[in-house]
Amino acid sequence: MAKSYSDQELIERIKAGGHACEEAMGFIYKQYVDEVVAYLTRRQFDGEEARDVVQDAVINLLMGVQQGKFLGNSSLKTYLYAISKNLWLRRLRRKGTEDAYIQKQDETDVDHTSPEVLIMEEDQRSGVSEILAKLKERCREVLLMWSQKYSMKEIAQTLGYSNDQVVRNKKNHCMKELKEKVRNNPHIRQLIHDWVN
Amino acid sequence: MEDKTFERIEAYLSGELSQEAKTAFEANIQADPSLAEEVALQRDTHQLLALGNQLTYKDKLKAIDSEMRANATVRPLFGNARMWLAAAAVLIAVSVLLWNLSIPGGNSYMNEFSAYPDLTSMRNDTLDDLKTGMIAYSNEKYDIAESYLSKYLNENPDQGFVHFYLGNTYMALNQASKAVDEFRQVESPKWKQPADWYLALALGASEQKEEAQQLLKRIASDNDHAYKEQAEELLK
Repeated sequence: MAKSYSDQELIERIKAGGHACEEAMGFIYKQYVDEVVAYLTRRQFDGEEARDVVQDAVINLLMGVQQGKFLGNSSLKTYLYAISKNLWLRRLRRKGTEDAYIQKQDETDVDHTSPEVLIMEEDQRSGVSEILAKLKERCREVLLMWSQKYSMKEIAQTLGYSNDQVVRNKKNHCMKELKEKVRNNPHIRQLIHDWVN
Repeated sequence: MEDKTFERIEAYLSGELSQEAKTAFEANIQADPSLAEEVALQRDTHQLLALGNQLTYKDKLKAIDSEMRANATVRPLFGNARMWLAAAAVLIAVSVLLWNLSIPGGNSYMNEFSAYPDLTSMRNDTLDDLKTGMIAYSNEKYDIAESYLSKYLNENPDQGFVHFYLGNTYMALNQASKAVDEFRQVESPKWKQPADWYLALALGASEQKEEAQQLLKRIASDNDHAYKEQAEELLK
């Protein structure tokens, strides 16, 4: 039987990062995806697209918790619904079908909050993928795990390094390499600034 | 740029400087435009990785999603509720038999066993023997996992991690000596440490206690071993 978590436990795991965060992410997705997809697909969206929206919503939820934007005024489930709905509205807006959706809103709408949602555009995704792909695989793995707040020990164990210090050196070496790639690529810096602002 | 400056910026951006050191460093940034530019560049690099994480998370969620859906489609392949009830009845009968045959107090090595989580996060959507086996494994349907993982290994004998999961499957099925054979075939550095620990449990559970003890001592004396504490505990 899969383990179950309270909202408080999930929030702690998301903030802790690393493996704990991934476990929380998987739990939230498995727990709510069918429900949220059913909620979204009552209106216009096909199942595939709704699942994609829920995946983006879970990522936004992780960022919201990690960056302190989620203030705990509602349950995580309500927060996830609110994000999913906003992401969905954004897609409908692009398709020009937002009005039809708004007219069909009914009393079963679950949320009244409106969290800000951020999701990478296609050119941002490909820009980020391209520059990360220029690193050696090992460097990419170490840096991404470090950035996801895996501990040095976890990284050493997962990637087969003999101890924490080796990982620390590797991380610094790879970070310098990536920094130089960013230095030489004004396009990627612009893309990062656009995202931050 | 000097290594020292790079590392100082890393410590600053990661929030590792004391308040005093942070204030002093910020004063340096104000006074030195070239340092300010280095800090900005390094901050952008961190931000780039944060964006990279979103892509990683998305990949992982897609993998979870395809596993969930494959799971939903696999179940009917293995028959109806009646078949499961019959299988459960047989399993209970076998468990009772094994329980009765076991030594009083049980085997402390077997008591330590809990199946290793599925960390393989397979990303392709093709429902091959490996994926089907791992889905069954994650759902604790070890008899099904055993048949699919064995079949997969017949065709791909060099896949160390599959031996590792098949070993876990045998442990869950109470077939420790078969588990020993599987764990011995794991060589990849990524899986070696957990494989050591599970091999020790399998040896102990299959009454090869001397070798189990030797292995546990080796794990316990290795400061970099992920299972050092568990091994120490079991040796007590």
